[in-house]
Amino acid sequence: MHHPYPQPGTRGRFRLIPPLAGGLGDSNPDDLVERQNEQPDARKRVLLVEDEFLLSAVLSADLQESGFDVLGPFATVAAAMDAVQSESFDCAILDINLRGELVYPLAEELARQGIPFLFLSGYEAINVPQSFRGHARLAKPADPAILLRAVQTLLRPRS
Amino acid sequence: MAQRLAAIVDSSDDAIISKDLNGNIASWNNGARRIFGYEAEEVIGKPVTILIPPDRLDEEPGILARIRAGERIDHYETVRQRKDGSLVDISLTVSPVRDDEGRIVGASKIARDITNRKRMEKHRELLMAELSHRVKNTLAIVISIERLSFSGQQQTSANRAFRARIQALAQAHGRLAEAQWTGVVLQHLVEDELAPYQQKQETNIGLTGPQAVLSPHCALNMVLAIHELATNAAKHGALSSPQGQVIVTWERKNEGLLLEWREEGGPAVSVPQRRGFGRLLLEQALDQELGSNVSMDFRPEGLRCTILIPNQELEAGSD
Repeated sequence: MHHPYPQPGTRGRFRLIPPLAGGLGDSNPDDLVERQNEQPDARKRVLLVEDEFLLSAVLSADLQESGFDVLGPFATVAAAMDAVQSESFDCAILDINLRGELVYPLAEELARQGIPFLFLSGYEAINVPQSFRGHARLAKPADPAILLRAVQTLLRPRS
Repeated sequence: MAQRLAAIVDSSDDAIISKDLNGNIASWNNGARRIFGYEAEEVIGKPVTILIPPDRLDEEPGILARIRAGERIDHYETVRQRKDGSLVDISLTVSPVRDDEGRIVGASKIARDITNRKRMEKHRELLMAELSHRVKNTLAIVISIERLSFSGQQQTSANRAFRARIQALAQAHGRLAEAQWTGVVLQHLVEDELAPYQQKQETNIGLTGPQAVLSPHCALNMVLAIHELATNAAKHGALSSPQGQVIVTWERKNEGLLLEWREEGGPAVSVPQRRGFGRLLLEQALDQELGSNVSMDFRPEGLRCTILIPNQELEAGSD
């Protein structure tokens, strides 16, 4: 059966999520960012760490609709950490609070590997540890167009 | 009399210490022994700086200078070091001690252990961060549900308007969380809503008014009202044309804070036939929720809307 929504990634087993048929169909052409190169090998891959299924379903659909591949979504630090060790990807979107567990160890690992990432969280800057306070962070709920623009900024080669 | 005073000092839970003008300890009560872990014999005659952690040593010269000038330092919250090296949060009151001729000869220090209070404060902050995080997460889920519910269907402007309203509510919650739920600065709230329409030259939007802090309840209602005004201006009003301007001003009146939203330079305005969500909110919800008096004046040259925010919805910190 074709499953209408992306499934959360599970430990040790990674797969790409099939895009929702026709996407969510509500992207406003005016605020949609330009599509990524549609060549499969040129598609950028985004690690998605988000424990809230409904949020991750919409995020995945938005990313895919804009031409990204999604690695995940992962709902725990451990599962995401496995993916970080074994998979390759271009950038990451990290929810901060994963059912009570904080994502910072994963963020530190990404920083160590030089993989760009942003936080997507309901936390305010004051609740983020000093070392990550200046890091890219979008407040939940994020406007899809703003999120996609932020992801593209992450992927822009730093000069 | 002196004996009785000494007994009072000695039975106090607070550390009561006296020092001379060079900062050397002259007396040391039981409370000081309990808080800092030193016996009186160990510290009398020693500089009071033995209680100050290395990174705060610069506090003492300032304190001494103020005492010499006859000033008193009230409930100064700082950190001191115990004998075992551990740190303790204290609230410090320092007053000059004078001799019979009124000359300042030293200082009395009262240090209250505020560890518990600090712990409670941290706990409270943590709970509020959690609350706010949950609220915003839930609002994000509401938006996801809406999108997934209508996925594959033609999206209407109503869908988008719905999401933008939820987004505005979430953003106001973010402002509230930043301020630990004490209130939201009106200017921030208006800026947040108008930011998407700001032109690069910043001439199309003008905000002026004294510092005003809205109660949490008021902020969550006002943000929706301002959101409606802003989106309406962008769709039909002054912000739909490059020459248009929105000017928001507010001033204190006896009855409260009077906010005026004025549009100029946009397309000619006529009274809308339909009473949508925006007018329901502005004309009825604000009145019922806040007791705000709202007037909407659809002048041909531009919408003018005034909202009177009653005094009880304004927090301390407002001018």
